[in-house]
Amino acid sequence: MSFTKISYPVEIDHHSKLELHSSPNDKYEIASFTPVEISVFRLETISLSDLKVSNLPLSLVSTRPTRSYLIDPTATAVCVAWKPDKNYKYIFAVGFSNAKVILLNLSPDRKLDIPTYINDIFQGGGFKRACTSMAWNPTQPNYLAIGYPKIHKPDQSLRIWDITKLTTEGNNSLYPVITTGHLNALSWVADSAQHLVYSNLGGVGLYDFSQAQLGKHNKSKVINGICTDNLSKLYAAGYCDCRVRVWSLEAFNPNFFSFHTQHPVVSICWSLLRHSTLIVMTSYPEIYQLTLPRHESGIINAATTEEGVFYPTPNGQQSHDFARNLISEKLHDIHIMHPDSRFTFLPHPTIVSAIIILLPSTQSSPPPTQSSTTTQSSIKSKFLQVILHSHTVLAMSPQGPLARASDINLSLCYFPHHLSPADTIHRRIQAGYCFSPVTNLRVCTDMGSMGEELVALWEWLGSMETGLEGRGHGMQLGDVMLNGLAANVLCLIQTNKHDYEYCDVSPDPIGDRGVSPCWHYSPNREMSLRLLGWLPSGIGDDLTERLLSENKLGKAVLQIVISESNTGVRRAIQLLRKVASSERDASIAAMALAGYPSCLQNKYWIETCINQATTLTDPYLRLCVRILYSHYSDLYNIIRNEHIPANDKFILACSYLSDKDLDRFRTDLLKEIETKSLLEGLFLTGLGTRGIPIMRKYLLESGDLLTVCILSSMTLKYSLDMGSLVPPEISKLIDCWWGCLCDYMDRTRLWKERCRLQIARNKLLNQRPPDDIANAKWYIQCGYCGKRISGDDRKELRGRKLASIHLSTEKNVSTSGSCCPSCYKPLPRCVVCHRHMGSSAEHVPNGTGVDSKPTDDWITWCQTCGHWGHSKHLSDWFKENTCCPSPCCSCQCIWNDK
Amino acid sequence: MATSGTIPPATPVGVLNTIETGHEDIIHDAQLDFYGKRLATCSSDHSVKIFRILSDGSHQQTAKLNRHEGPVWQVSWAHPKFGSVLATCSYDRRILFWQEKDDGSWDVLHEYRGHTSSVNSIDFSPPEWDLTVACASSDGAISVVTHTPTGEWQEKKIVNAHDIGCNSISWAPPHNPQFLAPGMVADPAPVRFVSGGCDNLVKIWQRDEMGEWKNIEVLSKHSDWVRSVAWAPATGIVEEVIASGGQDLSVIIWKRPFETTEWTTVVLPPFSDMIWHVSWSLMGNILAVSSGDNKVSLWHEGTDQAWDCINPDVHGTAEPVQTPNNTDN
Repeated sequence: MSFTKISYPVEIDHHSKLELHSSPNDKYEIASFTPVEISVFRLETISLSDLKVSNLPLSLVSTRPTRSYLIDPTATAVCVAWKPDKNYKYIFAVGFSNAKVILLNLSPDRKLDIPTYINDIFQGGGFKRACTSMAWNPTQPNYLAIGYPKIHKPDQSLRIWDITKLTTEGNNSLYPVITTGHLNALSWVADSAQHLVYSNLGGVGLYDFSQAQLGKHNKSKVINGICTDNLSKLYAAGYCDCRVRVWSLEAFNPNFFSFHTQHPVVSICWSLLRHSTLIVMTSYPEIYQLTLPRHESGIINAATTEEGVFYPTPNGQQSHDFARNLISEKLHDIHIMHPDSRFTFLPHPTIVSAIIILLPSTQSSPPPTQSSTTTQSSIKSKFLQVILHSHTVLAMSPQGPLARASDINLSLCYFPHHLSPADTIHRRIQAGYCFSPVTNLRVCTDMGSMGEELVALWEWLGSMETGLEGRGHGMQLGDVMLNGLAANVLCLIQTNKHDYEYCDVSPDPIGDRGVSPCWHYSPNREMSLRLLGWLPSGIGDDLTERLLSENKLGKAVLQIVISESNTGVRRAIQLLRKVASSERDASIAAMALAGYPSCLQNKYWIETCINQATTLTDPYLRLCVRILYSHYSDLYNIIRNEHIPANDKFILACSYLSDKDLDRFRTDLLKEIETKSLLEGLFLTGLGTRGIPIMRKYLLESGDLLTVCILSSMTLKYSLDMGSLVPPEISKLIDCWWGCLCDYMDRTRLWKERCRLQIARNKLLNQRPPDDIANAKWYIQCGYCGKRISGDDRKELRGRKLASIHLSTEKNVSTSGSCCPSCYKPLPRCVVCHRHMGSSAEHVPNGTGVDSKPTDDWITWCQTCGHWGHSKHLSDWFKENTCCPSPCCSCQCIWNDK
Repeated sequence: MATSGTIPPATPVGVLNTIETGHEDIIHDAQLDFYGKRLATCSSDHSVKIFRILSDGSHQQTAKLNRHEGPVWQVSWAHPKFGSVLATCSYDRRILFWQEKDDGSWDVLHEYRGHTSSVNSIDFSPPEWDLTVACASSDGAISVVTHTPTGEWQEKKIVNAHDIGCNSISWAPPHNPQFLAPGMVADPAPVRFVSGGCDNLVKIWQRDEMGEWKNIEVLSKHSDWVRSVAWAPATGIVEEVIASGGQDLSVIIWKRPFETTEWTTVVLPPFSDMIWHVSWSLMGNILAVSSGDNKVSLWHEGTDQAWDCINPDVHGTAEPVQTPNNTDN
């Protein structure tokens, strides 16, 4: 299995000894220790804006130490211990080979009153022996335990000092302890002022400080590192060459567990986040992880089955055999990069399966005094973060955000806008996006950049509806909508001889340039223009004004040029001049148009115009100039390749291409529409059988179920109008889309919008709700005897929303209203007004009665806890409260609606 | 940080919020409920936690469920029409059905102990087929547990569904256009699910008239254990789509138009690490893949059936496929 890693070069010089310590005061700080200096580094937390869905939130280690201290250039420091202290976070005890111990404060804040003992130097009670190991007591932070070698038999090899009571003689240690030999390593037991684990030449022992005596001692080979599990406080571990030993602190029996590694162990640590998990690193480097039985308040939390006891392992599997819980991983990459290096590592403070490795620099750098002139060839030390055995899971949600869990971290991420259809659907529906093309067009333009194809679509759909309604031109709206212009107009497009090539420019002004653009005219071409909204829809419709108000100058200009031919050019220039001062596009276009048609003979003018046209940003203005000045043979490609909606391309083709070319254009455009599933291209194919596959593809690419449902409902409507039969497979598909949309809106809790949309659709299709809903009868029955209590069957309540039932006033309840008329058991009461079912909400003194709504007397209830009340009372109650009004119910009813 | 539901506009797939779960060990699964308002997580620390997600992305923990005795692998939410019901599966071989009580606490509704090994995957069926859960276990069996409307718990077990073990399970969506004629109560939609296992196979299972489960398809293209399978939700796209990912570092998208029998496959560009998890967005238009190197890539089908990675910054080996639409820049 490979692993993830991030590495950073850091400024730590090479030395024979390199240690990493995590801060006891701040989990995001670590310190490196060499015999020469101590450096503190900070793990930066990543800001939210830098987090990506793709990556695990690994903290970055600062590349420069946040503080560092030169202890001794002669490199005689041998051990260090970081003091747990809430006020002074950077106090270190440094032990030297000459038995001296210095207390250092690395805090940069000089204003802080530093404790008096800082910079005190004390010596181990007269014996000139090197310190071998040091540890601060976790609960009594002033107690420092120091281990010494043993030269003579009565030598004290372990002393515990109270650093606030140091004297110059330095012989006032609290507990001088004589152990059996040279002391190698020591570690306090977490949360205990009294227990300390040490290792010496004779083995490992647990020292009970409270009784000032040695506790249990296990004989073993020399153990180097001692490390106690500060999280579960149940184990201690040590190592020696290729062997790692674990002791249970409770029993402290000699052979609790041990295992061999392939290479010599260099460092061990207990996980800071996962209980009872030991991490071991060897010289290769190779990482071992061992998870020991899980304890919670002293009880082993293991699964006991008939096959034995199962314990968890670091990667989640479990086994009844400790050895099988051990997983190892060789870090080949690091080995190749840094063979024969001594590594040191720490568990990551926020990621269970990550460790931070410090790779020492591979070449010795100059002495610290000259460190300003660094050698080019030396490779710097590096921090490396390695993640082992972790995986990421994702949870998708209907609204768009997705939850991402990796390791023990969980984050919520957002999809990009265009991939989060729920949000778009939500906003569109709320803005009134429904079955009216005009409204939909407004919604789409109001929402800005999203969906140019939708703007084009609703534009032509709107003009088609208004263009065909109530006009006697032999074409039916339904027919055009279902089968498109391709089937209706284009088959009749052949221009008649007498209205062929309406053109008031001389047919061939400059010989080889060919005919300057002719405005092809036929009633059917004009009809196309009108249906697609390029001609005013009626008297009083100022198309230019409308386009300008929508900020579509280019389109307005082109529309004028197309609809009015040469006179149009003059009007277009006037229009452009109005804005020419502020817009570069407009001034260039105005200049180019000004030369038309007078400058058509001037080759250079034409070339300049065409060149300038390419610099225009507005595609319509660009087209306008290029069409007017280009050779006819180029027109086809100019129109075809410009980036404008397919319907506008078609209009240009209708205006300028000959019958033969137009036919070819139509075939090509149809092909493009169908392959690229251009939604606005439905004008050509219609919403019927040819259009459905386009909608399907569009849905696949955009996820815009709402638009597809609206369009396909229109398919049904026009089929209904035309009396034509929708092929069953298409009708199934449309129903499926609608079902999916309803389901989707349920999930996104757009219940009201769904209702509105459903009602609008029913109206459109002239449908009644399904019989089972329309004829559903609701009545109230007594919970005890099952008899109806709304006395009159003819007044049965029908067609109400599930959770709101209208109860007419008391007169319909045959008794006094407090009990069932049949069995005389009491009826339930409104949780707010405590009046019985069937009473009117108006009778409550608090009810103002002024703004009473017809729904006030309805009853409604919480789907979770079942408590009910008058809808008016409950809606008033939940304006201020989230909890159920019933005093004996703690249901947070409001969450069902949030 | 974004507040009051506004979505940061320019972040491609940015992180809105991080959640302090308080889990002590690796989270194995996270699932949002039907409405996306609650998030259930489960972890190696034996616990299941439930968070309420508010519209601004903030959250609060509402419950911690502590009845499992081993790492909990997966959680699944039931459709809300059955109330607030959650199912969890664990290494302790059990499946627990949880139900939320009025006061917000959770009770074990039912416990299923039908497996002899770790239960790796669990999935609630679409609500059309009652409160039904399918689960896949390391003992090679798949169980289907149904709570019938009459209140009984019915259990069906497919023994030896996959050799060595089953890793993942996912139900087919019920909306099958083939069977959705309006006002017609013709053939009911087939009840199916897909499973992936240690025999490198993806298998599709269907319930017959007798209520027995039959293996109707075996899809073999993976060359190592299949870790995750996901049947795409139906969104009116007239195709059945299944995604599967596994230890052979590949993600395969299986497709079949309705009323045909041949599955076509698209293999995503090779990943650099094993695949842990594949999941579809609700609209079925985005496939999220998480791999062993902790990277998440999101895939979207462009034109010409080419799959584009929409966050290509993460996926070193799989360059986004150029679509014809963006070649003009």
